[in-house]
Parts: sequence; C-alpha cells; structure tokens
Amino acid sequence: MPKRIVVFGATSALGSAIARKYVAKDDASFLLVGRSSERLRSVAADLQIRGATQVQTLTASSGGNDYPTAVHSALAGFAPIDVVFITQGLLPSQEQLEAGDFELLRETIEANIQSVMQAGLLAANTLEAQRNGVLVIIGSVAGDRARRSNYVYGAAKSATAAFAEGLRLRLAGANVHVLLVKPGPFTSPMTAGLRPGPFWSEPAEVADLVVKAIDKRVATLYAPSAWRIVTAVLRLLPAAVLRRLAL
Amino acid sequence: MTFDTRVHPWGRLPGMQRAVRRIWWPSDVPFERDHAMLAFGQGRSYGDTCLTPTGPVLCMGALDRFIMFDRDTGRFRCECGSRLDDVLKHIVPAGWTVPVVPGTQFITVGGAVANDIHGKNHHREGTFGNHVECFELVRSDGSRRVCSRSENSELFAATIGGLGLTGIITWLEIRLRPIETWLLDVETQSFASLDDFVRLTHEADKDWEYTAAWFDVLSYREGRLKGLFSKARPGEPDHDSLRRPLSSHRFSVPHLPGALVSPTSIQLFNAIYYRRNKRRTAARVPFDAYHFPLDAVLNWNRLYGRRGFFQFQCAFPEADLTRGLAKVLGLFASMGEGSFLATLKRFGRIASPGLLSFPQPGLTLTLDFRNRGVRTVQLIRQAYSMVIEHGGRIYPAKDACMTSEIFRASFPAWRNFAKWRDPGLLSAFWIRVMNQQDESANGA
Repeated sequence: MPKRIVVFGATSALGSAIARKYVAKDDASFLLVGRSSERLRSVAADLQIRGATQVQTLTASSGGNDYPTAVHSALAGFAPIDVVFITQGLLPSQEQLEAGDFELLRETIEANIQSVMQAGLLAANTLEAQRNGVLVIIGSVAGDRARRSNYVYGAAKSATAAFAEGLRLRLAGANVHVLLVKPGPFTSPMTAGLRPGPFWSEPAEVADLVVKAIDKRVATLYAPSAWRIVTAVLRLLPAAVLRRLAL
Repeated sequence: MTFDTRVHPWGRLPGMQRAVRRIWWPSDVPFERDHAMLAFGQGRSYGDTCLTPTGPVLCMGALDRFIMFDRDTGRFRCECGSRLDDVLKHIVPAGWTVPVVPGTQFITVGGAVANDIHGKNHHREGTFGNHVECFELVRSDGSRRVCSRSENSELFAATIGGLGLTGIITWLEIRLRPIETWLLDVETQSFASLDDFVRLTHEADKDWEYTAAWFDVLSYREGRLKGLFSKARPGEPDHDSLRRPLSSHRFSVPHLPGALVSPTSIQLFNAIYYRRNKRRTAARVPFDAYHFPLDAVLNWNRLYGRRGFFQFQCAFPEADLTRGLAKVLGLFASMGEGSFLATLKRFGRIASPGLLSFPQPGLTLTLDFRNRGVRTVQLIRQAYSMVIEHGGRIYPAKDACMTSEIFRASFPAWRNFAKWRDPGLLSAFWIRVMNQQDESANGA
C-alpha cells in the first residue's frame, strides 16, 4: 500500500480525489505540486485534518525557468517515493481554437503536453534512481481516436499516451511501473460546459479505479472500464462512418 | 450505469427537478445576472425550499474540504458542502462530536444552518444554529462577510434558518462537544394516550438527552394513541467505541414505478413495528444506529414511487400543548391517512439565534403522506390552518405547499428577515409564500 505519494496537479478535481483516497488509509504522506499556492494550502489543510502523516506543497508552474530545479529538489527531499501522479490538464473550447485563439492553443499544449512531459521526465529520473515506485499519467479516451468535437485536446492526449508508453519501456528495467489512465469524461471544472453523456463519471469513482489499478499493476486503465470497448469500436470505424456519427 | 444530471428534493414530488451548476472553490461563487440562484446541498429538504424557481441550482458538493480542527478546544471549520457523516468520521475518533444532528447524516453543514436543524436532544442542546460560531457569507453584490454573534450579527441571525436566501455560505465554524462513548443506553416503552406521552416526555427529558416517540396515526381515537416512547443517553465512557467506523452497511431501493406505500402496507408495518418493540426494553446501541436508522436504506424515498410524498411537520406551543395536536390527529385518523414515520417530540426552551428558526417550546409532530394529488394538498393545508389556530407553526424544510398566510402566521419575524434577502437568490418556496407570482393564483 503506497504511503509516500506525489501529486502533480494536486488542486485538480481528480488529483485531489486521488489524494483523498490515500489519506483514508493509514499513514499517507503527500507532496502536492500545483500552480496556486492558495488552493494547494486548502487541499493540504483538508488532507492534514483527514489524517495525513505529512503534507508538503510546492507552488510551481512548468512555464517557469526554475521549475526543473524546484521540482527536482522537492522530489529529492520527499524521497523515498511510492507513487507519482501526474493529473493536470486543460480542456479548451474547440470553437475558440478554430476561431484562431492561439493563446488558448499555447495554453492547451502547455498544460497537456509541456507540463505533463516535464513532470514525467523529472519524476522518471527520481524513480529510476531509487529503482522503485509507480508513475501514473492521466490521459483521456479522447486520445484514442480524433473526434470532430475535440481533436486538439485529443491530439494532446494522444501525445501523452505515447509518452507514457515510452516511459514504460525506459523504466521497466529499473523496477518502476508506469500506469496510463484513460478516463472518460467526468464531473469537474473542466467539463462544466459539457452535457453528461453515457458512462459519465465522478472524480471519486475514477480515483477509486486508479487506486485499485495500481495495486494490480495494470498498464492501461480505462475508467470506467466500459470505455475500453467504446474506443476499441471507435478505432475500427471507417472514417466515412465516423464522419456521419457527428461526434 | 446511470447518470443523474438533475437533482430533486427528498419528497420527489412532480415538477421538482432542477438542473445543476457546480462550484469548486470558495473564491469562485458564480452569481448569474439573468436569473436568481440558490445553493443546493444533499437535497434532503422535502419540498421546494431548496429549489430555484426554474433555473439551475448551485450544487455545493465539491466544497467539502475541512479547513481547521482544534483537537484541544473542539473548534471545527469546514467548507459548507461538507457532509455530516464525513465530519463525524473524522472528529469522533478524536473525542469530539457535533452537538445537534437530525434524522439523517447525509446532509451538508450548510444545509444544517440554512434550516437550523434540530434533533432528538433539542431540550438539551437547542438547534444547530446554537453551536455555530461563525461563517463566511458571499452575496451577489460581491461582498464577502464573516458573520457571527458579534460581527454582522443581524446577517448572522437572518442566515440561520434563512433557507439560503441571504447569501451563499462558503465555510462555517462549529463548536464541537466532547464525546466519551459512541454507545447509547436506550430504553423503549409503549404508551396508550396523548397524555401518557406528555407525561413520559416531561419526566424523561430531565435525565435523558435524546427523547422521541413513534406512533400509529390510525390508532388515534379521542386522546387515545398507540405509540412507542424512546429515550437514550450516552453510556459509560468507552473510548474504544469511538474508533469504530460508522456503519457502512447499506441497501438501496431501486426506482419503482408505483408506490410500495399503500394504506394496507402502512397498517401492516405499523402493527408489526409496534408489536415488536412495545415491551419495555433496554439496550446499548451505537449512536449512528439510533439516530440514523433510515440511512441504512439508501433512497428509501423511492418507496413512494413516481409521485413522491409530502412531509408534514409542525410545532405546538407550551400554552396549547395537546388541544391543537388532538384536532390534527383526529383529522388525519378520520381521513384514513396512515403514515409510516409518525413521530412526536418535545421541544425545549433553548432559543436559537435564527430569525426563522422553527423550534419553539412545546411539541413537534411529524408525518409523511404519499402524494395523491390535490386531495393530499388540501388535507395538509387544512391541518396547517388548525395548527396556526392553536398558536403553532409549520417547518419550511419539510413543506411543499404552505400558503402565504400560513407562512406569515408561522414566522412573524418574516418582515425583518425579508430585509436581508439577497436579490440574486430566490427559491420556489419564497415565491409561493410571498405571493410573488400570480396574485390571482390564490395559493393554488
């Protein structure tokens, strides 16, 4: 049972739900990384009252120059580490992007690719050095096949998936397990504008599935599991059919 | 798997579903310019006090973070969407408890303040509002105020029992009470008349912290009433019992097309329940099993089927303890309207700071009625009028049909309260009791 847990994107709905799952078990210590120190403090205070043994926070943004050093020393100071979660993300408005909002495009790539890969590489270095641990990267079912409604986001999540698979190859020899999580859409600030559809989930439910998947050393988790079949079918559909489905 | 994007209050009456917007951080209260909003907790109010007139409600479920817990002094601060069961799970092992709890633990602390809830120990501890130290209230004009008995005190008083109409509570602080055992000593005995019940509760309230009675409505006949009186108090200190987690044994009722609740099933249930429990029994019972027995059956409200049900709760004053009560019971018994969950309890003298607080010294009566349409509404309103005639009042948290006259007679302080309403917030209940819609509708 993991006890020393690092969460990147700790103020996100899923990040904080995962932390809550672990604090409910005994003896969990946390290193929380995020961009808002105020929100990190909220999440940290909550975990502390719920029984965390120790909670450290690091306010850092992947856009900053000091990010690598700050994260590296925070990870080193928190060692030994059992699990690292990388949960940050951004779901942009497809319409805005198509209208030419390239600042939004930059932010989308920063949040979903740049910051995830920076955190992933830094965490991989630390875990590889300690020759132990689990690295969990949150992708999305949107990365399995491009859809008309969110292909920029889907492209970013597709990159995340390839990145996770690559890390898995690298870290296998170092006794470090990599779990790629592909949640379907769930209630969160990011999906506030979306209408819930089939298999719609909640952060706590996804977090529950993630925790179980770590114990079972799963490589890729679809959350909920129904999505595995849905995206398998989607990937097999001829383009002409997909076009008509207007997804 | 199902996904429920709309919420509804506990009575599940037709036309009471609303869409949901969510709030994730206390700094981000999304007031709308176009239409009025209302905070929504767990939806355990029975009627439309927790509903906007038509637009989406603001679901506070994600505002469930704990903020501060002083294990030496028992001061506890948390966000308003924190659920009672979650709070208890974390404070009880540390030797503290919430002084006032209602009949279910699946409520938010914000909702507990908005309805100024009471419990089986009202005669000892008053209402929830009596134990609230302070809270932060956000209003649609952008203001954020910390309210307490010494700061913004009028807004403090208006918000307690204020049905969410004075502003959005983001966090609140409670004064907890020390607890030394999770186990209660419980005694149950039967009674055969209203006077019997009054005598029993007058005696028991001196030495027993928790008292209440269940009774069979249909058994009422000119003062004679079959029921069970229950009294409980903490057992001897047993710190090991505090580490015991709350029971998680739960059965869930699925959606049912028709009601499993019918006059026959009610009569059958009442007869069996009475017979099984009427011997003078003493037992040692966990706190949650005693206080939240219905929580073991999730979604028990679905037993009433698609048309839902009404809850009736009123309070009679000390000056007229049984005459009004006798009349109301006589009315229900004569109409053949039985009830599963008929209860009686004595309210004590501890005054709440809330302007619209419901409990007053005297007795409170609670009943449920399956929804049979207009006849049910008429029956309930008839009973409401009887209650008012005898100096009593009706509990908004349970209500779905009280008229403007009944509300104003129940709460003379409503005028003072109305000054504090936030224009950006509105409930369907408030529209009804302030006659803000059709003047010609006449409460129909």
